[in-house]
Amino acid sequence: MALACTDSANSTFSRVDSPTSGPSDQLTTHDLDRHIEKLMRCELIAEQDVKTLCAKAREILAEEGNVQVIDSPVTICGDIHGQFYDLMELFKVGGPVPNTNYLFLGDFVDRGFYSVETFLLLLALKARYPDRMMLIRGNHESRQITQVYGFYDECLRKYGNASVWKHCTEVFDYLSLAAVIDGKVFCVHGGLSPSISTMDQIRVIDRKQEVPHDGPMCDLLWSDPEEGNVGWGLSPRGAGYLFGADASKTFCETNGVDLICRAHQLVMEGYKWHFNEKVLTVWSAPNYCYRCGNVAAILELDENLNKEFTIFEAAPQENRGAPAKKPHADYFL
Amino acid sequence: MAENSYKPPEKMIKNVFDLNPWYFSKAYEEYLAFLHRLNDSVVGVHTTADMRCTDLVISFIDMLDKLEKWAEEIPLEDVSEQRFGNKAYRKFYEKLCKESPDLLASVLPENVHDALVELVPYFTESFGNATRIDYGSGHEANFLILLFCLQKLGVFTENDDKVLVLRIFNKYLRVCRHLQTRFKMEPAGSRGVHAIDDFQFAPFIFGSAQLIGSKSIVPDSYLKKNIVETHAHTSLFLDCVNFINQTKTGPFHEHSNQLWNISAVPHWKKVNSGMFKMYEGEVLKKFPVVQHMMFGSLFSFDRSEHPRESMEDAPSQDPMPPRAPAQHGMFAFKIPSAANTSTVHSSSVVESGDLRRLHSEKHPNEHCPPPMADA
Repeated sequence: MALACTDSANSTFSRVDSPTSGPSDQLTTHDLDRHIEKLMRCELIAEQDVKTLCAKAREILAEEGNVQVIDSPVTICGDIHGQFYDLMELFKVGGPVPNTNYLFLGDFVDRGFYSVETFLLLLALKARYPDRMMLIRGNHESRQITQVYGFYDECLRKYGNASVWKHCTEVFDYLSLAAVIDGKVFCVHGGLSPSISTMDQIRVIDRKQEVPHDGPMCDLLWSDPEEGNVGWGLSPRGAGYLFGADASKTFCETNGVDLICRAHQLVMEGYKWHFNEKVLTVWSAPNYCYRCGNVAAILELDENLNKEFTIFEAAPQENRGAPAKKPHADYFL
Repeated sequence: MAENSYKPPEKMIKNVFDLNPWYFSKAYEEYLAFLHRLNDSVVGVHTTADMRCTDLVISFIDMLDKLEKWAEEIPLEDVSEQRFGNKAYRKFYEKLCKESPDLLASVLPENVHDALVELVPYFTESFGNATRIDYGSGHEANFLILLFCLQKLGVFTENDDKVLVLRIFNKYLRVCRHLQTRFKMEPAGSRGVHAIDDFQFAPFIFGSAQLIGSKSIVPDSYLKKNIVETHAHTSLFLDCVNFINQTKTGPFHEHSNQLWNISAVPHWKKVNSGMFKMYEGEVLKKFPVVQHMMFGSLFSFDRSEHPRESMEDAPSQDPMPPRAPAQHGMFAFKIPSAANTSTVHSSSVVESGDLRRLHSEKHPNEHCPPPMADA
């Protein structure tokens, strides 16, 4: 909308019941640029701004299909897990948005120290450049998982209440489940499902919900390839399946795709081929959990789907301010 | 206790509604009292202090040494196709399960062999999960529960408290670190930087007690690597921080943010009391951790006969539990079903290990490989 925002207009609209038609309509490109600039410095934006941004992002994501259709060229990125400065390193080697098109395969949050800044930055970039920043859902984009693996704790610590967590988890439900690039490269966070033979079966899933414990939607976000496996195996993760070369080949042939590109598994070298280059794992969180010592990778596909991997390491540590020390008041006061 | 009939311990915490009876159970009360006794026994005591070890204690330590040798002897598998953990860990776990009854029988006195059926599972589940190749504070708790049961049986007495912490539990920690490092075990249910440590909790409790009254080391001291390295041998707390410094890279305030925050607490006594509250709030009241707990006649799920108010060993001054952890837990469970624009299929927080069981039930054996050993 062309109208300039005023503070009073903002405060008026924030009282309107409908979040999708109120505040988000007032989110201008100027506002988004301001948010992006701030988030790029690893600074939090205000809770009200989070709410507005999440509403806008939800609006955009709701228009995307369960299987997002993407044109090359595009750069594919794996798990990020709240490693904000390593995401900056990724943008450094991959090129800034919007000059580079990106597809992130989920698991933006949990484990790392900066899940909030990381997820909000990706959301802001999505809202600002919706056709150049593509996000699909990982198994950690879940209320249940984020309560266990850190994102919930982080939102509480950084905002003092769970509202931001609630806003973000509502956005999680709107993320696409998969993507296909030029009809030839199928992208998903985890892998395949015995319940899914065709991409059309993914398209009919009701995705706007918490990740179920089992079933096709769960499998897409949780499964792993397993060398030597025939058919479908029980996953030690407790969700999803282990799938073998035969299932991958069948899926590719049935759907006319050449490659299944996924993330979900730590790879020490940043990327790893499976099943005679039918399945590829891309991992983009270097020195995962600050202990693994792995490098990370992104995959650039040019307009002819030629592949180029770029490897990068954990960001250098300088110029990172230490946060104020805040012992947990309920325990140490 | 000739009148006891021992049985294999069972999981009793099946959903979040079982947290309340757990909180009021004999096991909860007695376990916490046990931890406080251990804690009090090491106040101001260096890890290296002289202490008399009975033959039984030495045998117990030798048994743990044996596990460490097994870990060393089992060849590592090639770079894993799955996750980070090395699958050779499963061979260690298999051997542990096979040998544990005899190991414990050879160490423990004859009169408690009837109880082995109840003790062995705590021991085998002290060293990690073979399916996911991970380790966390729940596994650590199983080892402490084993020690608790042994004290309850009279195998150890309260005179042994100091030795239980600084010799036996310390040896257990070293075995676990060896396993974690060698087999690249993953943190179980890790909140990443928002947990106090990826793997352990109790050594931070006992270790902070050891540092109470220290003139030279204040909580802020453990942010300095050289101080930690120099004094790691004196306190389990500093030894843990030393291990973190050895295994993690990147800024300390990032990878160990909780420890970073706690360094601002002015003195060790307050760190120690805070650690107990934190243990209750972050371990004993967290469903993903305690859903794996096993209960029997020694570690009993039965309701405690003592109202909470009258507990001499109550962990905090308040007769009621700390409010915020309880509220946190309650609030966290309510959020999913309160979400306006989405459907939540489960009313409880579910750890990935629990999801595995759903698949086990769903798939008959003829269509799937046999399920792997469960935690």
